[in-house]
Amino acid sequence: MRTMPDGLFFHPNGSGAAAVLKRMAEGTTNYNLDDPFLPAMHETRQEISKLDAQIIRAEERLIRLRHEKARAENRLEEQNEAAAQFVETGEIDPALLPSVEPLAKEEAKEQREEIKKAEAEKFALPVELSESGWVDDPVRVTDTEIIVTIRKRRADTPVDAEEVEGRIAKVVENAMQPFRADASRYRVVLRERVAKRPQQPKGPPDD
Amino acid sequence: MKHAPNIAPNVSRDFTLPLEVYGGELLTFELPDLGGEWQPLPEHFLEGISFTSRFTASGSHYPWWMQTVHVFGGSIIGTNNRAIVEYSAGEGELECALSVKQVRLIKAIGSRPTQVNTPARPTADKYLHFKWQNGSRLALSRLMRPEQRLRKLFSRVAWNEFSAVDENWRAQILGHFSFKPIKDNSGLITIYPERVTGGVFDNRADIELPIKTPTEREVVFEQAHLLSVLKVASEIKFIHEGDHSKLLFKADNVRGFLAARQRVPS
Repeated sequence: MRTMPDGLFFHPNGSGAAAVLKRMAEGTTNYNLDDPFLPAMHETRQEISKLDAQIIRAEERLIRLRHEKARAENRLEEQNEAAAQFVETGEIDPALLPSVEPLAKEEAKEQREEIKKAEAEKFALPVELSESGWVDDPVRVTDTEIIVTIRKRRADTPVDAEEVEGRIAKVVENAMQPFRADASRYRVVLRERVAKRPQQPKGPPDD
Repeated sequence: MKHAPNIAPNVSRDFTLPLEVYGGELLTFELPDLGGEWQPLPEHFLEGISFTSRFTASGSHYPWWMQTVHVFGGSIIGTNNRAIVEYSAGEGELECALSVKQVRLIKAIGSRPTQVNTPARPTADKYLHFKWQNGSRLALSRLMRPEQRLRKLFSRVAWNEFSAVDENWRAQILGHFSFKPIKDNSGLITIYPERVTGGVFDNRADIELPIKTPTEREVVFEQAHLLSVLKVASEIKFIHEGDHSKLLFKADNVRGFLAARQRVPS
């Protein structure tokens, strides 16, 4: 037999969803204080709030794209007007000059390719590393850095998450057993608690 | 010694108070405005708040209402998640929650406050004013409302059929179990109908005291909480609901209960 901390209002080792789930998996659920439905409901609530945030981000992105499109359309209109102006006055408006950014980028790309080639020749994997099974990937170049990745195959078998999940799920389901039994006092109390009905006084009325 | 008559006292007669350099401006002090009418405080208000503040919790993982004492008119309640106590201080209408620091401040004045002034609609920027017999005044900011659900706990248990605590019985328990538990142990004390056991390690009972107790079956408490309750209790009673047990206790103007630890099969 083991004793576990107890309290009048909440479990001293935490009353959050993670703490309740941990105790369920350990088999130390405090049936007087822990809400057995909290982990599942907390999970769903988290998912809803995560999706809400994702929706807001997607909407923001959509608005940004619409604004960008509107700006591009405005620019086209300006360019049309400038062309009409050119017909009348013969002056070339700066709006009609093309953007040369892609060409400049092309130059940077070429330089990068050169560095890649040169660095790939210079870089040799140390013998100790290649002996223990490390291999290197092609060199990558960013604006400020030259990156070489080395990798190795795992020799061990990874943990089978599904199997572990099944094992823990069984324990957690067992932890709910006292709330399933027909004659259980915990079941009665939990039903009252979930229904948010006032608790019946257990003794004569207070003086 | 011949120079003694020549020694002049090196003390200036013009005393300057430190605050006078600001033209005395800092010395003028105005109390915040009164919110309502002066009301009398319960007779044992000071004893009540200082007693219940011993049963409050401290630490950021406890909610604010466990770090305060709650005043509901005449009854003053404090809890630390293991024990909850109610002190009947007399007649009064004040409803507020006082932090332990505020309780210390009131205690530091030396005598009991006799009158209180609360704002009609309590908000965070209003003050709670206390007045003493000799005219002293104290204004506390951040007026907190008490936690109502603490009152309801007391009506859920039966406050009858208590057994009196014998001085000899109390002295034996306190004498045997007032040891310091080893680090990371809470010094669990198990109470059986015929004996009490405990020890410096939680998983091994080193001390056994054969003594009759009013419990019907074994219950486990932490040393610090059990002893603090037994020191003040004059009547006790054990109640069991399922696998959960409580120790109910009463003393002069005081009643409360203590949650037992729960045993789980390992």
